[in-house]
Amino acid sequence: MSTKRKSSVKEDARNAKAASSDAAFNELFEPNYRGKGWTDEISTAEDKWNLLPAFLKVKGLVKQHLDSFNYFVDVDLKKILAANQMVLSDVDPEFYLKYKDIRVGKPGIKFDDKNDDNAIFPHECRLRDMTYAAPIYVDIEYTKERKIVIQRNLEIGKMPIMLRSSKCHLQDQTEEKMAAMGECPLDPGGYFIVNGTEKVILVQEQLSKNRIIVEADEKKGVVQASVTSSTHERRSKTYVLTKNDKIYLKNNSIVEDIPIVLILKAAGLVTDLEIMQAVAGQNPVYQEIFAVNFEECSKLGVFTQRQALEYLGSKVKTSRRSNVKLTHYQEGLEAVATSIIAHISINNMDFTEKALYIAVMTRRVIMAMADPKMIDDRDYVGNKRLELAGQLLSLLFEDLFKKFNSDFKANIDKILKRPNRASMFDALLNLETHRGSITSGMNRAISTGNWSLKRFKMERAGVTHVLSRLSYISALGMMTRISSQFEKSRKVSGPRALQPSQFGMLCTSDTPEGEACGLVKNLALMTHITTDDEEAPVRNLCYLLGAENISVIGGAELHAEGSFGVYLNGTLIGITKFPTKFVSSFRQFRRTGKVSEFISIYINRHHAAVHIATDGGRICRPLIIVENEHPRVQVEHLKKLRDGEMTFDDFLKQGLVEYLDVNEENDSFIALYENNINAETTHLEIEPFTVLGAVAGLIPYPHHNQSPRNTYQCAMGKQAIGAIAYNQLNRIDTLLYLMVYPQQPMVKTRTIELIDYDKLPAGQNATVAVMSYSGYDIEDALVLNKSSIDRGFGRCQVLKKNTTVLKRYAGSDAVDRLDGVKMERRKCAWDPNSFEEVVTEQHEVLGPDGLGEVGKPVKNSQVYVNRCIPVNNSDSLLNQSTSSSTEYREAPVTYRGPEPSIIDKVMVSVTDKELYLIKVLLRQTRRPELGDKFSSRHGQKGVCGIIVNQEDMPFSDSGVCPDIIMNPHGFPSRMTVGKMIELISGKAGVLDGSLQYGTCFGGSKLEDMSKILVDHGYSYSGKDMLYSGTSGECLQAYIFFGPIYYQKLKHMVMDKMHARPRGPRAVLTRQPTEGRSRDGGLRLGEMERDCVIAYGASQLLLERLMYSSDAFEADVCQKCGLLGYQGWCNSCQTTAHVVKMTLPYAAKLLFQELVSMNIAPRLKLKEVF
Amino acid sequence: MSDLFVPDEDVEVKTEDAMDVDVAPVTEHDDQDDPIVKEFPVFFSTRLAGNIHLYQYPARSVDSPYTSSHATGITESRIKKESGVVEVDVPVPTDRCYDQAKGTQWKNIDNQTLKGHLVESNPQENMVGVFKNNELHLNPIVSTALLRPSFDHVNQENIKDPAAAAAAKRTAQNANEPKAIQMTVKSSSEQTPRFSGALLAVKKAEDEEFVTLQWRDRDQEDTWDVGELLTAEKKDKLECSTTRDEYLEAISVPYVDPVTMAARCL
Repeated sequence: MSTKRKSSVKEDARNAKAASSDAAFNELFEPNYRGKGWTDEISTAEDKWNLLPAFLKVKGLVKQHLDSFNYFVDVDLKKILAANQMVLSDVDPEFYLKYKDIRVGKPGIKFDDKNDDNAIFPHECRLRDMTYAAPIYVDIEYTKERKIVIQRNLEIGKMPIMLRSSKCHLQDQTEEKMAAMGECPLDPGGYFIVNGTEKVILVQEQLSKNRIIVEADEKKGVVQASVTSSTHERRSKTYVLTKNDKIYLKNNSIVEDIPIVLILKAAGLVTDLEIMQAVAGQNPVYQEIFAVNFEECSKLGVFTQRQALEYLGSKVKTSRRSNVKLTHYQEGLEAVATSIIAHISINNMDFTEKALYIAVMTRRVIMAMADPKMIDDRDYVGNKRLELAGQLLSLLFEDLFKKFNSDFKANIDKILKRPNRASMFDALLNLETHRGSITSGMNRAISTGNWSLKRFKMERAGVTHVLSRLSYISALGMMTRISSQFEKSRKVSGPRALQPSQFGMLCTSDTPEGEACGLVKNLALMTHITTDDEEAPVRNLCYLLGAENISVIGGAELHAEGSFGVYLNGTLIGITKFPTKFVSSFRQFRRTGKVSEFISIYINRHHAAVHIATDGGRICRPLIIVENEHPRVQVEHLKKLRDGEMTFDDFLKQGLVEYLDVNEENDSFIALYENNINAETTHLEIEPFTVLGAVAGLIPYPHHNQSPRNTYQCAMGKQAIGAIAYNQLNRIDTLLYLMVYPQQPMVKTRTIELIDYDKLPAGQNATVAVMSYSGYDIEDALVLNKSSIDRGFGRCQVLKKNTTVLKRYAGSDAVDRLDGVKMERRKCAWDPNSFEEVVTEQHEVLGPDGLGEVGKPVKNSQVYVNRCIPVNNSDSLLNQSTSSSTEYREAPVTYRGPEPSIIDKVMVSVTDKELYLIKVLLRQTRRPELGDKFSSRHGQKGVCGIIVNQEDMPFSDSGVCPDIIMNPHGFPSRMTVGKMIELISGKAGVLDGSLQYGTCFGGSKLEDMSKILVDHGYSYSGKDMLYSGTSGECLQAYIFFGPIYYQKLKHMVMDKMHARPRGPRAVLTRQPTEGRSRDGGLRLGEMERDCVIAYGASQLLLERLMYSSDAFEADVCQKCGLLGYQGWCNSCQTTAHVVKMTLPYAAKLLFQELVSMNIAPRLKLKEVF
Repeated sequence: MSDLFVPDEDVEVKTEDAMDVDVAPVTEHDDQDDPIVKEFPVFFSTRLAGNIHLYQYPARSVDSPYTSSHATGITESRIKKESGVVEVDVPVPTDRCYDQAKGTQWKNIDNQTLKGHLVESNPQENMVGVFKNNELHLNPIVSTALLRPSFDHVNQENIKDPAAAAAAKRTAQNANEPKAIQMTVKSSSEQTPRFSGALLAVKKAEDEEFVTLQWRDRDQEDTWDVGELLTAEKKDKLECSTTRDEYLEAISVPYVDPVTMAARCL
């Protein structure tokens, strides 16, 4: 009773508040959402998890994609524009065009139209096969006849817009508005719609750029430090490596490895003293190791900087520019300035920064030579960066924009070259003609997934994927997926292994099985991925906080005892003698919001370095700050959070919570629970269940399961049939599976509520009896209750789409068209003497418009789109003007399939190319049958083995009958204890009328559940006494009996069953076709053939491989042994010796192919029998 | 012009002081590990502002500075004003550690040239401090230069670029021989190769002429007179026009949400 009162109070409060906005939608974001009422006690230890919904309210589930895209559209685009600002002409020095500003509008249909009613919404794009794109506007300044003209809001192309990003119409909309737009409010967004298909740019995992990675090959005794430099213009990799204990520098623009001392001399460290100081410092061990390298340089006779540069210049690859010849000295200078460590750009004569960078690399190599433990782990998540949609699009856009400009330049040069132009020259007209190139370039890349960047000569395939809409979870799982750049085929264990550093950042359970295992990962629930932050102000701040600028520091001070290098994004910018003080004051700045919360700082004592990172793509997560053994988040904060007075951002600004990236997390001491806090603790976890991602979060009690079972469930959760989105019935997708009566699970988790799985569930709570029944339950097969199926258990609908476009043909007016219904004269059924006009069977479902009528069932080979195409569709220009009346032939769309479908929807629309587009959606309703696949949420899959009448099923004394009987042999080896606890919690919930929680590392306690069971008169263990359905006798054992959430998986017998007595054959070989979709044969393969041979069934072999396959009667000449035809041998010019023989057509084909290669295969025929 | 570089010598002596000023930890009252030992007034002197340049000699130990008292006083100094190239000459002591044979080979070189580039320095970051009468006087430094030995004599010896010589030889040989020439089509964008700023800077520096500077040794009287200018003349209290919050605002790097930023731009 008390709960009811409480909830009504809650209801009132909410109603009052949410007068205008939608209550149900806002409820999702309430921090106390389905948690406690307003009057309940709050304790930090138990209620700090409320920060998580608050976090998700700001960040959302796919915020990483949205952040990245917003950054690209709002910031990066302007940077790209600034870097490519001017277009000049080679012909006319007076001419220039300067880009002043760039911005992206909102998605609309027409070019150059900024009206609101021009807006196009995503759902229309999906239905009409259009691209959800917004115009890109620029402001330009250019010269026109010696006058400077300023033009604003000039459209240069269209940019596909990520759904729910800042440029999307869906951003910050209420549920009602979303419904009006035909959009699901629970849809996470973060994908693109290109030509009607939803495309996701998967997160790419890469080794971090511009950072030194030291590796060692113990077998070869090689140590190398490598750095991948990446700038807007170029990407290069520089190595400092050992060869016979001597150190060299390697770069792909230099032909051979260069002695390290020579490079350092070339970079301005001219004296050996300085080199020794910069590399080895005062450490005698390092000095000893490095000393040999000085010889290497002096042997080459190089003593001065000029000599070093000349030597270097002579080793530079100069193929890229041939018209301007540089001296070796200049080549060397150019190489040091631009190619080596390219991310440090040098524009004056001061190479100190670069010299020190190389010295630091060398030092790292020497450190690893002295102590092999000093190498880096390239699988460490802190050394990884995630590349998101925004970064990939920015690379693509810059490439396209450069091409756009160079095309434009070529065009105006061509015009300006003309000596006497007829009209006044206006560059604007030329600019506008090119705007298709950016639009189509972006569209093509996203729709094919091929990223080709001319600047870097980079070609990358498979960047984008079609968003899987199998279920809500599969779509969500795709948005959090991370794909690795490693090859799948290589048998390396390192990159696939679970990394301790991925704790809380990447889901520990969600990875596929098989070849991509461990290479494809998923984000954990609270992960945030950074975007780039400005570097220069951070550098200034470092100096103000007491770091000494590196430009006035020599090697001696740098490596002196107690001095720590300050590295900003991997580059040495200064030193400090008080690293702890420096770091803590820097953190103080960050916690007060004076420094971006995503900038990380940590001390690496092994390298005596303070590292600051501002770059994008780092993985980070929020943690509660602990000071003096007290977490800074206190009860009053949580109260304010509950009352809506504080948001997650306030927690950040007040320094209660902060983001830590992997490196900084590694430098912190994090308590898992509040009672673990001790004097050294720096942070406290918000909630331990956030180690899992969205998909693994569905599993109840995962901490009681064997770990691979959770991984299996992660794969299967994405195949479960359920609700897809609130707009699922308005969608016309290629293939859509919908469950008819989905239920939210009895045993929920916090994650389920946070990701709204309970609103779009994929499964049903089945009453399961764990017992043996009938023998049709071996090998994980399930026994299903027939009456349950009648009641709707596991019932699903399959919707398939057919798209027909009525084409227009170039060079003529001919257009595809729809024809009406064909009638036939048939004998009247009741009067055999008269005839009647009836619709042919083939056209039974068609309406007068030539389209199938909604609601009518279509059977195999019936027509549902009666399309006709012109006979002379003038692909050839000859037929262009033959006659005005075009003839048409039928090209109908017919239905193929063993089971009839019902026409669910017919849509007629126009594409953006003004072609008629007809989409027909066909529906099948399927009830479970033998062989359909089901799974619980614990990686326990099974197929339906038998469907039993309810009267034959066992029943309890209260008359409860199971929906599913599961064989107990599924448990011992799988060790899915979580499933058993789910059953007990579920049963307790049923009896109690409550929903129980199975949250990871928490959830309803087994003891409490048993208590509820006992209170309701059941056994604490969840076992019941059952009676046999067939004999009515009491079963001789207590049966573990209760509800378990079961998912129906998409693998259904109807889509797989296949048999072929005879059927289509391939044209070339005349053998049966392959595959179910082509009604193919079932192959008797090599191994089966071996069995038949071994058995000695030669006639069976002959039948299978020839008579039932591709038997062919050929004419063979017994004289020459070659093939003839029609009883005639062409080589002997006679019919005399020609006989007929049967052989496989493939053999005959082989002979002919051999003849065509001037090889004569001759047959010698003998009587065998 | 001539007085522009006079204080350099002084600066060099004070290098260590300047460092101390920078490194000195910000004293906070509640810091128990780091108690306040002594307090003294700090003055900001602007009398030589804009004229102080720091020469550093990374290849030389602090114990033996380039002064006349160590018999290595600077004999000549030069500058290229535009490109910021500076050079000083110091005598090479021929009495010890001196290879007579090599000296002959390089035409009896008895002085060494140290060369560097002036790099603009942030005046707030590097300062020269004078501690006098329990008062600290700070002067901003305009630019710094690292002066390293330039082995131009070695360069002079093999100025003949081996590759250039080889190329010259090749052209002489093949002058009359017919050659197969590969014709390549170049797009217009390839015709203007982009060189780095470094190459242009070096070219600019090479084209510029040196201007000789007058050098005063550290121990000379008039150097000390100029050194007096390092102390502040007016001892008024400086009024800070920026508030604490404004200063914090100026040095902070807050996170800017791209969406809000874009909204602000519009």
